[in-house]
Amino acid sequence: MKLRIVVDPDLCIGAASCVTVAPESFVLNVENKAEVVDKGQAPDGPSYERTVEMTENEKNNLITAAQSCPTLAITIFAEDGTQIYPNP
Amino acid sequence: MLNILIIGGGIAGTAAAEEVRKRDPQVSITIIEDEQHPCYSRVLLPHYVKAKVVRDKVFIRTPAWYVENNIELMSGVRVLEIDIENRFVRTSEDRELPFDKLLITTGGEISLLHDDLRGVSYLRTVDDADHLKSLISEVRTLKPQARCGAIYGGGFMACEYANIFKHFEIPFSIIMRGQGFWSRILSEHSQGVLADQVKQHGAKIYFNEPMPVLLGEDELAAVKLKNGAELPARILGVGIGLEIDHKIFAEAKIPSERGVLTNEYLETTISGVYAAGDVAEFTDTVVNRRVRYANWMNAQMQGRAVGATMAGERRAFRLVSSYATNLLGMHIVFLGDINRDQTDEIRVGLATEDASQELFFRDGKLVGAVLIGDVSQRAVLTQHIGKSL
Repeated sequence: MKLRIVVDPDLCIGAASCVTVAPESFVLNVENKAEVVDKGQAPDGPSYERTVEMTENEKNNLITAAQSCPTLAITIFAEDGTQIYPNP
Repeated sequence: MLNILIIGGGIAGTAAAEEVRKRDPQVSITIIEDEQHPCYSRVLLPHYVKAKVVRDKVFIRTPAWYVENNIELMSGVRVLEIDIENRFVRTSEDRELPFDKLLITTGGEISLLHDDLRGVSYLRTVDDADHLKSLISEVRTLKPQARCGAIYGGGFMACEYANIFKHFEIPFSIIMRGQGFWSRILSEHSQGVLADQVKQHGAKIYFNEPMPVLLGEDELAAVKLKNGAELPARILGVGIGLEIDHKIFAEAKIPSERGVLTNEYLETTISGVYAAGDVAEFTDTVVNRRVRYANWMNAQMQGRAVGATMAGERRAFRLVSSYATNLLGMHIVFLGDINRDQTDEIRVGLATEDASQELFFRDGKLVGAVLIGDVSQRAVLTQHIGKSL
């Protein structure tokens, strides 16, 4: 499945929970904000938003990472645009 | 049916309950929480004060979540006594609740000033945040020249208050107990970089000050310093640390020093009794020392680990601890163990006018780091600290 992952840099405080839970999907940049990566890679440059292909297991871990964010800075959308997390 | 009691409904206790429930749909789980709210994010409180998020968003678990997960939340209830021998706790409602397994995630209590007056603010709970919001609203009705704030403290909360005052364009001063920000952790250079950052924003810092005297009739008008000077202040944001109430643990004969003592599995020496989060002084296998950390990620990850262990999937907790904040736009990150007294050597990685990096070594191993102004090495240093001994 494909999921769109979006980080709100205005809310992100660099707590690094997401990086700890899902290092395949998040890295911290020099501004101490989480950026989205695809299996650790950012082929088209750094970004706060990315659509990523993932398995069911990877999706579960991604949602755990988003839930672990203390500032709710991570939003996840399904391929059809439905917001999966947080509950809209 | 197995009975699990969790004292403390913050993120550590809530994450633990969730992990237990994932593994065991049958076990009875009760969380006893002395606040009146479901679990919320303390880290979001400054965002809420600054109106970056609405109040509802602060609550990261809804009442329905507890029902769906069959977790009983007893809010507004305090535990007054733990009876280890007979395996029950006595609550402020004078109820005796039995347990087979007990998790202590009571966190810490904020240190208070000796005096109180309307205008004094703490920022530990969502109720504190509501109070601060109303104080700020009142101050903003005043003419700009009459708006003034003060901060007492030199740690994370002082940074949050400075950012909040800046956001609302309320001029402020900072009064510190020590000779700088985190004066027992940071080098003089690091403290200087942070002090300069404050000065560049037009705020003044008063060092080595005792608890300020509060002046005002019904509400705060000014604070008095040790030399007698009076600083006008409508709001005094106080952030002078957390205290652990050891009495209940001492009475129950649960070993505690700076926190409740545990091994790397977050087990106390008493069978079936665990501790996690800010209250736990645990064996940190990353830095090979017993430590206590008070930050969100540590609390959450410890909750998850101890929840798995309590459900029978015994799991050692291992994480490179990290705190991150910013002071008026300047990034600050603390990684691992940064206790100067427990360090063999501190190397300077970077020392410029607006940045500082300190590296803490013990037994030849990097165990901690402080990054100020330039946090680009955070991931690399976290990896280094996390390498096994």
